Amino acid sequence: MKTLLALVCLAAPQDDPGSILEKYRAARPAEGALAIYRLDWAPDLKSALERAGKEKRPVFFIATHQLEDAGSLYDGHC
Amino acid sequence: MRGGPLSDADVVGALQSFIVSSWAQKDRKEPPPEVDRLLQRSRHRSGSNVACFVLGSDGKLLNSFNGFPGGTGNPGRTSMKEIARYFVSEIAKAKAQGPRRENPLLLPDVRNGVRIFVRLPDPRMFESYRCPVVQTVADEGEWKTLGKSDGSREIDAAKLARWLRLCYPPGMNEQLKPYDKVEGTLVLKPAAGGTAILAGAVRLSADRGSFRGTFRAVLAYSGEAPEVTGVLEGTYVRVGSMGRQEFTLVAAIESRR
Repeated sequence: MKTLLALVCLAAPQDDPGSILEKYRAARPAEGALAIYRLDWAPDLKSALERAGKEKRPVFFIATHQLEDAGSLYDGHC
Repeated sequence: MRGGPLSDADVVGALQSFIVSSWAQKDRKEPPPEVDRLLQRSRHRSGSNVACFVLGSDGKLLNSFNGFPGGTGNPGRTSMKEIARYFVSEIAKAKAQGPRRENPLLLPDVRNGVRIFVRLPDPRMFESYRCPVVQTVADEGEWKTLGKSDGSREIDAAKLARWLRLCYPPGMNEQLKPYDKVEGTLVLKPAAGGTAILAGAVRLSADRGSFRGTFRAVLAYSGEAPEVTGVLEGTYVRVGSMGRQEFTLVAAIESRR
């Protein structure tokens, strides 16, 4: 990213990559909107329980059922 | 759920000592045995299709509760802050023991590919719709497609379908799977400083959702694969029980190594 920004500073007047990067920065969520990734996620209940035993930590588990289809809480299509 | 309590600072704080996991039913498949056992034990108290469980480090069930307060299944009737307070209270009831810790922000990541953030920044929607989707896609030929060239050239947007088909919004009950079709023509044009600009109109479509907009990216060539920093902007069209609705959708796409 640093390389890219440095190159863009040189190129901005004619190619306007600066405006693309500006839009990219505006589109990328702020850290506060990504708080869900401050949770310590395990890919499934089985591995969460295995880790819990080893690390002496509790588990919080959410199940979404009775849907024709459902997305994933972790990536966001839910 | 994701855009509500699981993104609330108080709930995230209450879960700092926990290992967190989830399961969502897909294609009417039966849950794995360990999940099924928990669901059986929660049926008497769950008022929606979302059930939450607090388990001890030994796997013992300490508390289970409906994903929405008041025995409802409708998050639209309760503010996200109220739902968050309910979660904190139910988590505390379990009296789960574990070491306090401060977890770093760990985004989904991929060793060689792109990370995609999708947002639906529309004030008409519940807060939960505005929580970003974060997905990763490992390279399977996209870098080759975007290889450096001396002159301008056209690239079929379908060559980047593995990225673009994932740019559908969170929380849309009508579209829970990636777009089926990716159409459009992108132009890759060399720019100053060894960079290139990739830009063009794209149309993405699924059974009950579609998108029209533009994809623009800056590409830098300093290693074997280009460094990509791009943005997809346009209009998402939802067709469902509320008829046809249009929303602004944005996605940020960044390469990862």
